[in-house]
Amino acid sequence: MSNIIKNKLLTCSAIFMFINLYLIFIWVPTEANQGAIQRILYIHVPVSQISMLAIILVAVSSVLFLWKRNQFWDKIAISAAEIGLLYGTIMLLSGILWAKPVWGVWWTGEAKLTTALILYLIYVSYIMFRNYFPTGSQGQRIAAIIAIIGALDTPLIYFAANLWSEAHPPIVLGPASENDSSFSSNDMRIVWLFSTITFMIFFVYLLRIRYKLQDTISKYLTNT
Amino acid sequence: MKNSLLSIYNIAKKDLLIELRNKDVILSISGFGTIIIFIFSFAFDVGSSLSSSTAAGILWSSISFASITGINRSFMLESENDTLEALIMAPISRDIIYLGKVVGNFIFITISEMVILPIFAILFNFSILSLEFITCCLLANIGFSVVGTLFASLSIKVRAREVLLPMLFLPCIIPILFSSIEATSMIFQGKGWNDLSIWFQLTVAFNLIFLIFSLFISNVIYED
Repeated sequence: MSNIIKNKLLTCSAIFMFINLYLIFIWVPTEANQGAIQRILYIHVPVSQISMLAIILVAVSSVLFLWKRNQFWDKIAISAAEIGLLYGTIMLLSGILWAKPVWGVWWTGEAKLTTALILYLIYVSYIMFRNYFPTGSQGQRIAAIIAIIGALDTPLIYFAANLWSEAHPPIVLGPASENDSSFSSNDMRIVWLFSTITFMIFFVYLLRIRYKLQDTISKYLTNT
Repeated sequence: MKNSLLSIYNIAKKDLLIELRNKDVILSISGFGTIIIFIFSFAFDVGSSLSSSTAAGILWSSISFASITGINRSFMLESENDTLEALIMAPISRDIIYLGKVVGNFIFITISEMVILPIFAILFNFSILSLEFITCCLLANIGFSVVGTLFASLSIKVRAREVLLPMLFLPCIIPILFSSIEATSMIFQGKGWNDLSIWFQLTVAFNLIFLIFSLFISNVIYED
């Protein structure tokens, strides 16, 4: 049964991904202001949203783990953190590639960018921490606390980064520096939505595989 | 209440007494902090005048790096002698242990700053004797010791903690770093309380959130 679900998810995400690529590169009209580079939005925005969702999932499952002490939530937390980090890496790389042509700089001190980068770093250390800690309940407990701290820190980082960028306005020069909105037609919104669904299905598929792997690891560790 | 305060005082006193005998923590914070300030002063050419924001950035980067080294050192002593186990066994609640360690680390960082700050003032030619600047330092020190003690307690049994602790600590204290750098830069420009208040509020909010969270989970941090 579980194999059938897994295969269905894989098939589904493969089909959706092909349609998604067709929509992004052929079907959707080119944005007038930014040109072809704006097409990166249909990958960058869904991937960023899902990576933030993954971080919320890590925090929620960590709270539930500390509360219920059920191994299920710990496995979900580590799986979501790793897949979220993969999406976070794609988010950062695609963001950098998009920023150079439209803003004239690779990176800028804008609040959202700073918050995303710092959160990314916190979750890199979360995963490192999990790997460096001796296996057992203490490590899981402490990892859960770190995940909650990361989530707790996010609004503060965003608030501080926002104040900071007001004091030091980021330098943006390119075609997107004046107009912030990258959507100018409904077709663009449709493609963005479709792309979000596609990356979401792929996320669920990856999460499932990672969860199974974690399950096998913990079974192996309890047997030895 | 009186008993709790007495226990906090006793734990902090124990740390200070050990420190008075071996001077490990204060020497490592002030020594490391001063070296970083020296390195920056060579890198930026001491003779030329630096902008206030660059100087503030140098100062707070040095203090944050040095603080985490010192806090790590203070917990290393506990783990080398297994004295944290003894503290946990003592008939006091776990939040008292945490608060005692926070008070101890706060005093260590503050004493070390008394060495670092005059050297900074001499090398970079900024006046540090003002009530605003002292408030800024004390608020930041509370934040460093609250978050630093929390992370050091979490990572007491982890491998490669010298690497992991700064990796966790530095991204998490970004809100304090932002507000201290900005407030210090404004103080160097001669601005008053009105301009500084938003940054001080941010630091106070950060300190309170992390202090309450740490007290709330202190039972989980120091679980047997």
